[in-house]
Amino acid sequence: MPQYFAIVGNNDCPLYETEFHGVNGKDTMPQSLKELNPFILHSSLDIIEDLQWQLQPNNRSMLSGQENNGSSLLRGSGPGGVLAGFEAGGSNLASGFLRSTSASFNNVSLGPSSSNVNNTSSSNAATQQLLKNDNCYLSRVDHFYGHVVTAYITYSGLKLVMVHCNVNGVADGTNSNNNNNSSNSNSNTFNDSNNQVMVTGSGLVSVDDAKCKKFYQEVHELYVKTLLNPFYKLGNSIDNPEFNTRVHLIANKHLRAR
Amino acid sequence: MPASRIYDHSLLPHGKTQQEVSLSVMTLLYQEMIQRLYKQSDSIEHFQSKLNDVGYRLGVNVLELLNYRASVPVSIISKAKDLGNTMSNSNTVITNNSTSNAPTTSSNASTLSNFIDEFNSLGKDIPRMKRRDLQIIDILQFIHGTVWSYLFGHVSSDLVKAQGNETEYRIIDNEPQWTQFISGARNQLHYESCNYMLCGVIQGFLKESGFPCDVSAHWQPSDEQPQRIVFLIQFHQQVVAREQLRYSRA
Amino acid sequence: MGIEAILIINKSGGLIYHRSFTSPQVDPSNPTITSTTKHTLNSNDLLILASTLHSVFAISSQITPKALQLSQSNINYTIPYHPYVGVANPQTTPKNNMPTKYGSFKGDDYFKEPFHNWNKSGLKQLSTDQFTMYIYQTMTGLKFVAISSSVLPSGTGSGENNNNAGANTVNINGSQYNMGSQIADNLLRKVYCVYSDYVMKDPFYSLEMPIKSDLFDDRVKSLIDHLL
Repeated sequence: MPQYFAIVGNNDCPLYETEFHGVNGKDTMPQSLKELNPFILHSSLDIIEDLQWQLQPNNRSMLSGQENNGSSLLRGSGPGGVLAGFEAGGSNLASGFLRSTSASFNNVSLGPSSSNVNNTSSSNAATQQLLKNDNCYLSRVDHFYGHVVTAYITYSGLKLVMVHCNVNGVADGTNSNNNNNSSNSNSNTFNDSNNQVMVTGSGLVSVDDAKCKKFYQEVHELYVKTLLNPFYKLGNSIDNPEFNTRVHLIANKHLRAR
Repeated sequence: MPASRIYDHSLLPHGKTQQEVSLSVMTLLYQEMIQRLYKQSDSIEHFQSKLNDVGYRLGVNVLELLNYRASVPVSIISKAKDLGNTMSNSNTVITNNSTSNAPTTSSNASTLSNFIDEFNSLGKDIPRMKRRDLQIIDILQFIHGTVWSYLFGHVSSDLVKAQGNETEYRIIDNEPQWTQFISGARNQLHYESCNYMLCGVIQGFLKESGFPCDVSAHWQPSDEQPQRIVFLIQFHQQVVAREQLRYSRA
Repeated sequence: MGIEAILIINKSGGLIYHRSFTSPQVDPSNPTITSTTKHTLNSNDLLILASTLHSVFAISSQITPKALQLSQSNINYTIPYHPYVGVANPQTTPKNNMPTKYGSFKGDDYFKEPFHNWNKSGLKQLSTDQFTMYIYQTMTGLKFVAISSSVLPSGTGSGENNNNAGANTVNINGSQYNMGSQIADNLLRKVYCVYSDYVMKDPFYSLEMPIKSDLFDDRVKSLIDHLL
């Protein structure tokens, strides 16, 4: 699957964006999706901002378990639930109010491990261990018609966000619906019925958390090195070709199945 | 010619266990910078903000670098140290290794460069990144301890919370290193202003990590410490509000 | 030896620093000189003194005989290090009332090695029967002057007849002479160290201008105070 990757700076201004494809024309992105990617990514920024200040942003499926996900979904599903979650202090609860959509998503994608094609489900416990207590790598924060959004926050609040695109037939079907959804602008208004359709349909893109985390950590390191360059001005876009080359190398190393 | 060498360097300090800058050089450079900025400024506030800006970027760099270094496990640090020692013996040019996923050839040079490449990218060997600091007290502790140790080789003298004011904190340095040769008694305002670079470091560190604040320096001499400086950190109301809303039950 | 005053003269002969350290009581060995008579020099006199000294220094380097200059090539200008001149000796001083650092010098002394004397042909020492003046010149032409109340013993060691108005015959090679001069050079080099820290690293000091730094004052004072 192709990916769309962007680094978003402190004032929501993008510093860097790129796409990862497979080699020799494999895993290419349809043009319609290319145009859509920035919007998908942008709509998840609010969720990331909320998760940024949670003590346990990766908590949603680990401590609460599957049975709790149902309740968190209920709480988070309506506008009243959002308010309640917020007033209750939000953070220390099992999952954040915005994240609840993805909690339900996790429930589905990770839960039925026995029959699912999702290859992370086999290492579910290992993944949970991996993510525990980490508040830089946020894992999956959002999803949109089968496209999964993962995110990572650096120490200076820089957001590394990646859209893992689902190109297996879903893209065409969703095109007609896109306008509706992007105009909603708030991703937590994600329709439950849609959600169901998506999951029971072709399924979501699977993301290997361990590899994804490594990818983000290495890109983070590259960014720190960029920052140490005295000629790089804080908040400017990163147009160093060397940076670009290296990001693609890292993506090849961690994100392409071999 | 390689386009950019900066990505070839490791984020860890190489070789020598302690990397120190001569205090003479540092303070001479500092006084030159102050003299230059002072001449360019029309008012003392202007001068302070200019010096603050210089420190701001340093604060951001220190924020990312020190947190990243803190994430690296000890085993890798010690290995990198060994590598640094062998590197300084054999004067090897670090090649831009653009084929990092290619199979390793058996030739000596390429294994060495692969070896170096191995340590120049730390990201893949970090099992868990250090947590981002979310609460005021955590991040101030980091400044008081780690940042001060990195910049000056000792922790700051004190970290106190202002009484009766939720938004104010103080970091105290009894012997400020950069301004130790500048007299406070002769001109208090000048002396305080000279410390605004460190204010900028603190401000850059806090602001970029999501704690917007204002920082100012105040000269409060005592008998033993005639140069004692207090850095007053005033967080914006939103920071305290967020803290109460999110973590008051923690 | 007691230091009466420290002067610093810049490279164009202007006095940029002056401080006197005379104690109020009268020196018993020199009853004729009281502290009141020493304080009669006003700032104008000091400026004249400084520029005169500067000129004499320049003249003396010019009038060095040619033969002497030629034979100077084999003279060793290295001045030996005398331990703990002007600083607390860690062996004799209790640990708690000892300053730990001396500015950029982190050790227990400013320097610990013999050093080179830049003052090759100029005036180095001025001796009268009432005081001795030592001059340390830096590479950039800055002069540090110390005025000492101790009087050079005449070569034979008869240090008692100080009131003899006639010129003392000074044995240049006498150990007493060398010792005093070396200690003075050690001390003045430390003043130079303090100068390079607290004056040169002060952003509000302009070169060649009078030094007005209380930190510098304090450090010079502590140097003199620790002098035995």
